[in-house]
Amino acid sequence: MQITTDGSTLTLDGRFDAHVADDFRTAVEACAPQGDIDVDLASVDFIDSTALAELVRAMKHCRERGADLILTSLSNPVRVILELTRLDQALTIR
Amino acid sequence: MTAPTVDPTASLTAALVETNDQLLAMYELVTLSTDSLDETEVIATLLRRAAEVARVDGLVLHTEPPHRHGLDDGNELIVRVPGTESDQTVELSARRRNGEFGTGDTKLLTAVATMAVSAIRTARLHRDGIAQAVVRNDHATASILAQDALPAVAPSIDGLRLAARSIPARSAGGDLYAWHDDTNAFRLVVGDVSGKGLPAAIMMTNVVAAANARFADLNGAADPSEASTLLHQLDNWLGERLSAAARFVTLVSITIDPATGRAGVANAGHSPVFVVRRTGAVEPIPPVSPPIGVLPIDDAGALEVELAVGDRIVVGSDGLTEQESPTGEFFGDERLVSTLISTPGATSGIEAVLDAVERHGADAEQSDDRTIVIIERTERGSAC
Repeated sequence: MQITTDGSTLTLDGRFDAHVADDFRTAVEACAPQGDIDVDLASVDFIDSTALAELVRAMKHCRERGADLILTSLSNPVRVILELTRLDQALTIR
Repeated sequence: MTAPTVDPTASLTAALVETNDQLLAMYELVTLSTDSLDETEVIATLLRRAAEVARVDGLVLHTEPPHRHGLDDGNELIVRVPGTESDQTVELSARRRNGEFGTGDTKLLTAVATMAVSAIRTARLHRDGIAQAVVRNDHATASILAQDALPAVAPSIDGLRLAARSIPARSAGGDLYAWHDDTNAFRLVVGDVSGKGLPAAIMMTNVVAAANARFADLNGAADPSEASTLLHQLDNWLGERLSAAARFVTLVSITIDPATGRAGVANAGHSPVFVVRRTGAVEPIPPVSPPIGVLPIDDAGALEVELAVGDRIVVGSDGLTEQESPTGEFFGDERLVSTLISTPGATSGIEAVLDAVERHGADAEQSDDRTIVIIERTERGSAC
């Protein structure tokens, strides 16, 4: 799993699971003061419940600051999981 | 005047006694036990015995910089050896009031300093090992206590047959089920706290406790809409706590009337959930809301299901469908459904699914907690 930060956009690549949850949290907190955070999930081929919980945590982190976490370019596996769990109703997706 | 005579036998005897004393001191030095957890005590004993062997008047070991040099009087010898850390040096200072130090002394004292470092390392490893063993023991005990929150024996219900199994990926996990049989109504929740291991398991026990508390408040005939109300109440109770812990729980709440087979199913973000008809037809029960702990959820209502005899409600956890084969292929919904269709019954269905998942995973690591609960409608009055 690779996390690339470009301004307020995080691009994730590979398997998003418990092993990278801490790195993702660090990356989110590093760019949170800049407002909305975009998370590009086009290259994520697997996401587990720990990673979903991290997305929810990041969403709350942003919304507490009057901003939002915006998920973009969902890969099919991520889209399926978000729909299966109805987290697509809670998270902002573009 | 004649010169005093020296008794060669007495001199030889004295030398032999002295040599023997030296050998004994050396023996005691090399057999010094380093089992003690107190490294200060171990080093003090080692230096005392080493001073006897080396015939020095003082031995001081400096393990921490800055090293202090120079003893009070006499001749001094300082040897340095690598310390317990890669960038650390330990110094051993020896003092002898009468007599010079030779090459042999340097070698002997270097050996003593090396023994001292080894003793310190052993004492620390021993101490760390005990501390880790205590943590491991506490972890194992807490895991057992957490898993004990899950009911061990399925109740005997006239008109329903229930079977449930949960196999955590580690010693404990976040998958859960809880139920309550109230004669006129059978109530059940099945869920999955995000994450794995003991932290998820501790939160799982909170969810089970909250569900059991709600069950105790419910009485009377089964009302399908009650399944959604219970979910909503659990969200009120647990939502903030879960949110503060950066976790959520996917949860299915089911209320069934054992007499009629009429059921209400409310699903908050959980999968897989199916109705598997005796005919082989399969109806997925999708969630009506996100998991609990994400955002406050509404009382969105329950899906009403009529169970005929032989029909089953099956609730699994993602640890079944997301179990990967050695080649990285998920077990998936299709294999789960086909296994259930080919194996009627509650207990037999569970065993078939768990066996199929295990075979699919082959030598691959169990990637997540595996849980499956099956409720089957049976003839009233039949043995459960």
